[in-house]
Amino acid sequence: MSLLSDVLVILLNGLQQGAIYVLLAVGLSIILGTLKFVNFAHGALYLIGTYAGLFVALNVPLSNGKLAEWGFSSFGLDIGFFAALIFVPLFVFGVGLLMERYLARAFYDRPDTDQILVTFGLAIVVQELFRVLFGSNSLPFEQPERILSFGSFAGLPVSGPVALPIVGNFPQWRLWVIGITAVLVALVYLLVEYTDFGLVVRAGTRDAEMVRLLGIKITRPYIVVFGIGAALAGVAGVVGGPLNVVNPTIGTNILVPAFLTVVIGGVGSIAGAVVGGIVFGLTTAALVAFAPAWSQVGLYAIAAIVLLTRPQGLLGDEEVTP
Amino acid sequence: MSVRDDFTARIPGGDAGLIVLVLLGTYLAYVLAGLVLGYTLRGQLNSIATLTFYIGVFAMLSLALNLHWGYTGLFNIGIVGFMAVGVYVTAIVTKPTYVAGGAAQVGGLGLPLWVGILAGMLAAALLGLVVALPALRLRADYLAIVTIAMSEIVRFSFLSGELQQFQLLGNRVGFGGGSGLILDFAPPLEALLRGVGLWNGYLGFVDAFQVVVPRNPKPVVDGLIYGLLLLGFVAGFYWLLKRTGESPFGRVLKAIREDEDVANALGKNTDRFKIKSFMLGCALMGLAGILWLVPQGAVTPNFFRPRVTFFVWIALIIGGAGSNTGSVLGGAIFAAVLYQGPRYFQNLVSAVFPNLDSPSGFGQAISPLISQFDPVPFLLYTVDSIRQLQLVVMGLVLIWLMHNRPEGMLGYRKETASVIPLSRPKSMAADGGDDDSVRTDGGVDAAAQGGETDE
Repeated sequence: MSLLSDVLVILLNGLQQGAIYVLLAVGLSIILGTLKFVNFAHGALYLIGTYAGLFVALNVPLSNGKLAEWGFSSFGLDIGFFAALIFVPLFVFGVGLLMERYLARAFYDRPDTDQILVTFGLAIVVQELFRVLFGSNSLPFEQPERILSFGSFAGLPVSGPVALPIVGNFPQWRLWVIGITAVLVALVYLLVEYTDFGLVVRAGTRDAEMVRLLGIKITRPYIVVFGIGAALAGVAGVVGGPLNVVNPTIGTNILVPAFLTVVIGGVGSIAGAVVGGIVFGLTTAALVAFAPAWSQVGLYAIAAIVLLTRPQGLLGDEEVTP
Repeated sequence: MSVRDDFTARIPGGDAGLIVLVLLGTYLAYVLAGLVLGYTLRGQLNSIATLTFYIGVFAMLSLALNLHWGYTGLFNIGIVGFMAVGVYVTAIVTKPTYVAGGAAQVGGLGLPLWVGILAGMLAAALLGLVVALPALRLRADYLAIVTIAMSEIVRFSFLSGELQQFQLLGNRVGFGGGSGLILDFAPPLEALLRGVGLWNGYLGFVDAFQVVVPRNPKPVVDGLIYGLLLLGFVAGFYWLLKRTGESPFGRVLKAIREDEDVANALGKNTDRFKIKSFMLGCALMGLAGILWLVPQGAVTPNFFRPRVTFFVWIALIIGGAGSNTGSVLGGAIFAAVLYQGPRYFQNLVSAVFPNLDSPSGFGQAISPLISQFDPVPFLLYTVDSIRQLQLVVMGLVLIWLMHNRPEGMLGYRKETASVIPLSRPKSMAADGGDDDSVRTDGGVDAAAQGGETDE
């Protein structure tokens, strides 16, 4: 009985950890799959999402960094977590649009390596700007207690433990993270697979020139795809913020696992990103439970095994050089 | 473009002349800055030594990266991992054996430094082999992800408590975890001079140097001579890569960079060439890491963050990938302007406005600008922040370069795989346009320029 509950706890923790990877990897994967753009600044979007979420949801005191020096003793609107879940993705969507228009678009026809270098540069710029503004120490991001509390309506409780069958008490917020991720990924999947917009995007992936010849302005779907990818990274920042530390290096730290998720899942496949994220999440959770010192190295080991046996990724079908 | 080309063409000695000119200009600028700052002779010599040190290490690293990227087209963004392995292996081999109660938590094997350096280079090359083997089967950009992941694994491994200490050949050794390792052995310069029996002569020279620097001249002389030694290593790297690049082996590498399928179709086992080139570059990166960090006396894993990799890439892109001269120039310019420059600039500004304290807060900085139109406090405040913004500036430089001058700040100088010039004779080009239109006949250039002009 207790073994079963331990296993279930690891599974749930793994799903939660995986959910963050899935959100990031789906965004990366649709950008990589449809636009053929390697975005090393995806971690920076996650970083922006986390800090923007912190700004909207809470009001945290600042102790060092330029903002504190300029006389801002605290930082935030304190209008609740639900507002953050709404506004932050919109904001990061906008950041994504700007990034596509002014940075990425010029690089679509350039080699991958140029794209990597330019976005790597952007990631460093964002990270260091945050370090200058907020200092390099970690900021507290408390888990939200309730969401959707308007006036007399007390709202839904989202923090604290919840009693589950067999498992026993489990932190409720982690379940919410899994739920939010599932809904968002399903929405993106439906958008890409079953709408006219998705049809144009997928056609553009096959042959952008042909789509243009048919009189469709391909740049508009492209910029939207980029924005959606960015917004997903922003959501990952908001929901993942309370579960991890918040400091300027989180963006670069999460970038490599997110990329490996895409690679082991298969580039361009949303289902692949989900599978890859879940595999990584479960691996991390299991290693944290049994061999915490190796939890970070474990991801790379899994990635190496997958790449050696199935170079196109678990669900990828792309041709790989023989 | 033509102005710069004219300028570079007019320098006597060609590219080598350009390197000398850039170095001299940099030193002149630093000496002038030192004069403005009122440095003593000792301060001047120290600043020159530091500058030479960084020019040396960045030139070496960008030369090694040029072998990977400029020659073979292997996109390595895990440079810092190979440096880390080189340094740590050297440390373990060279540190004196563990004595209970000593200052160091862990010991080493107590072998001579040259053995340690060779072992470190070998370890970096072997790590390169391990990384390259799986990555070569994949798409080209996967090598990027594999290498950056490797550099993080290396850092995490050195940070981990499990490897803090272990037994090797009956000795207590280890990586020291987060607090790092003390490198309690003779620095490279001393080891080299002792090895060739010049140590006493060197000490005599240091004593004679008291004429110039009266008190305790040894650190100054050490710094200067070590800087010269590093420049010697840069020359060695340059020579090695030039020989490699011009050899039949190097021609295959360039052919792989241009079109791997063609090289393969011509019967070259491209995987083998790529692995050899990758391992050689990794060994050189390990050596550069050793020469950078061993003289510092201690090493911690968190030095080896991906930002160092990013520095080397900026250096290479500034100089222009594909050319050894460009790599050296890029390393020198990066070290002088972006790496060491901001601190000098800040010192200079505070020396020019000596009696103005820079304002402590943003409010004090901005209020004179609004009330009395006095921009000086705001300027000082901005300059004060420049060192914090150093990495931001570097990132912006990289973005700008990638957007506008991906072929490098100093112009297009990629060496082609061909042994004969690909441009047409001058007489045929006389009727049409400028020099560039002629060069497009050379396939390679056409591809590179087509990428730029498209859209």
